[in-house]
Amino acid sequence: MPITGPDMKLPQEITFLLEGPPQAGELLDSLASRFMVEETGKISGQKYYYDTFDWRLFRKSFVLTVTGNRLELSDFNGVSIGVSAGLPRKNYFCWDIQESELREPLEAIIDMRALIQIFSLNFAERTFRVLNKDRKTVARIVLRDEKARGEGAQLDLPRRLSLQEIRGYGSVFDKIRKMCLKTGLKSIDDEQDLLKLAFSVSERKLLDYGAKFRVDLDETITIGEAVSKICLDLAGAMQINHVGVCADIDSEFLHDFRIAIRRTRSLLTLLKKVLPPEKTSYFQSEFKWLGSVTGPVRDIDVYLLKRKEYLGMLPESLHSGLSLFFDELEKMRIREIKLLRRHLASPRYRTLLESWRLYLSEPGSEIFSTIRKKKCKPLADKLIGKRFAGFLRDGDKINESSADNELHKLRIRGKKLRYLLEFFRSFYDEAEMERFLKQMKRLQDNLGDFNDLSVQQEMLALRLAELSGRTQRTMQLGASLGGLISVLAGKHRSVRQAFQKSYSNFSKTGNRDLLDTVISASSRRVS
Amino acid sequence: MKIIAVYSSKGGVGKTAGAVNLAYTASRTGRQVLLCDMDSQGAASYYYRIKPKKKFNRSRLLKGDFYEFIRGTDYDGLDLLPAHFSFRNLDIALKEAQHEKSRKVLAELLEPLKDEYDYIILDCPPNLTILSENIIIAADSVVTPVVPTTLSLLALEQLLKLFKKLDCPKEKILAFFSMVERRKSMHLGVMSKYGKYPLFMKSYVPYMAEIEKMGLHRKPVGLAGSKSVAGRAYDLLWQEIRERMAD
Repeated sequence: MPITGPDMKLPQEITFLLEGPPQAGELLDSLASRFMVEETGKISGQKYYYDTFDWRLFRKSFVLTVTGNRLELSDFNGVSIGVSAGLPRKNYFCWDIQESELREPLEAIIDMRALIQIFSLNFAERTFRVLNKDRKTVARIVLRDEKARGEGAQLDLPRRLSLQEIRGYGSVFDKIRKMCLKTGLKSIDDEQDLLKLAFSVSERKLLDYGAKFRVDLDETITIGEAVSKICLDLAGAMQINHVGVCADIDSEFLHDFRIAIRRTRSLLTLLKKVLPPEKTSYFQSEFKWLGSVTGPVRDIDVYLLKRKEYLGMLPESLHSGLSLFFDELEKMRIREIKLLRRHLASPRYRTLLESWRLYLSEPGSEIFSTIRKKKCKPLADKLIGKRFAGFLRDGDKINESSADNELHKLRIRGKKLRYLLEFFRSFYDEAEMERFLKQMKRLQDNLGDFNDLSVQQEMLALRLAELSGRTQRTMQLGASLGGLISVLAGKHRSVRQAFQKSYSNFSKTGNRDLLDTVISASSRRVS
Repeated sequence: MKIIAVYSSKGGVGKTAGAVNLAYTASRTGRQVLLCDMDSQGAASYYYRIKPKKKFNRSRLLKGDFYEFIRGTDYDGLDLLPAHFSFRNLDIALKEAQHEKSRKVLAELLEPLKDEYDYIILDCPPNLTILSENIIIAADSVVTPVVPTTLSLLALEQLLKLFKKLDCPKEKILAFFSMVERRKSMHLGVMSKYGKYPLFMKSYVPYMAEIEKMGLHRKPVGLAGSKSVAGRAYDLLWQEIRERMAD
């Protein structure tokens, strides 16, 4: 007896827009003439909507809400993914949420980012049930009134009527649906638009920030204009993250802030030959300063974010020592963030950003003069070609007996090449460039892990060397740090071993040719 | 998905009340629950005010063509497969199935529902036939109400024998005392003598007018919330069933 799987469709739900209370009343009256309709309850309350600063949930079509003491992750159509207990608060981290069916999928999306309250919704719902002659519920009707509230703005959302099917009573659902349409009600196919409308009360604009770098450059753009456009975008990223860094909302504000600094410094180095030497050297040294004053907090954050991973590497008997290490870091972080705030409020920082913006945007600025009036595209072609050849030259030389330092150098070269490609990606075929960048990222990940593991071991060894005395605390700390260093050293070796394979995959002829093809195809297009 | 059969070969021991109320309690914890009314009398279906669709019958059930006849109750997360009058001959029909497979038919019929429901609760008819054997084989746990009387204990003994015959682990049996009247010395005696066997759960369901009146109100007792003493008894029972199943 072969049994096929059941075709168990989810009960349907259809939502109609209501133009006003009379329309709902009219429909309920006409329903009452054919069915028994009973109001089962009214609920009202406030629902708070959350997302990360870079809209990680919205990008994946999810929303996180808190209603009463219920935290819920659902998709744009209202299908619940998971629920947990939680009260409305300003920010939420994954680790603030108790272990639940909600936490795992949420963590996969938002990782270490904080969930920030974006807006709230005041809602009122009236529910009716449609009964058959046995007084069994055969359909449900919900009337919804909602008002969205953001920072100083509020908005009434269109009134709606939702009709819900009860499994096994599809014919009743169909009858009522037809009645609704006959009354002139219009159905909403997609509740996404309503959600977007609700989001509009927030002072934020939907998808107004993302960490991915993207600047569109026209093929005819000059060097000066391109540098200005790219650097203004990066300065914008610094500015937009500045608030989150100072308010210390989550670690990624500072991370993104520092990436913008690094990209800016990289561009200044890469294009050094065509940029005004005096100004360039001034800004290079100032951004170097900014990089150095933002470093200590980030260095600590890297370890704090690894807390779970590190604990997992050690047996439980060494956990208490490791906790002492993390306690020290947390204390250190409090001091460092204070210092960082001071730097970011300093006249030096303000002057840097103001003069930088002026330099990049004033029509008479040196950045737009002389050689920088030339087209940027040929320069980008040349630079990419040269940098790529240099990267491969160095990479090809590395073998199993090469010093660690050679790998670190290659990583930095690779990073500069990747930034270069990202700055100018809009000059080239999007899909092909994306393909190349993906290959490159794979190799860079290996090199990045190698570097991270080196730095981590060095830092832990340094801390270990600083320990003195024979107290219980020192012993515990020493044992844990020692244990951790030995696990990291093992990982370091295996990442090093994986490099050769990773590099040979990357440097395959296919990839060598790919970049050449991308660049030469774009040059033909221009000529 | 876990399948829980509420079964006893004896009638009138609180099987249907147990199945109806446990299914409701289970669905309150946010789980997806299907209550299958296997008893042709259709008492569970009656409590939930659900009638089978006209096209539904035993032969569609046995062909595995029954999923479209599952109906939603008035409560979120709780569906019901109603009983049909033709279920009274389910035994005969099952016997006609290929001999070596005849005991596993029900298990195979329910298997495709594993992605749809967290729990399937079977309200079983009181008999000792091949249907009972199917139920025991399909179920992860057999919850059996025992009125603290000699006759009811006899039914439990029969169940143990049947388990032995089918070579099923008797740990699957979760017995509970049902319709307990604490003023009756016999009830107390039986409970103190047999209650200590691991087969018995600690929770029991008292004899209550509230449960009797379910036929009148046609609602699970738990609907009254914490006000309902019977509802609380089923909550505790469900909690213990979940704990025992997790062991």
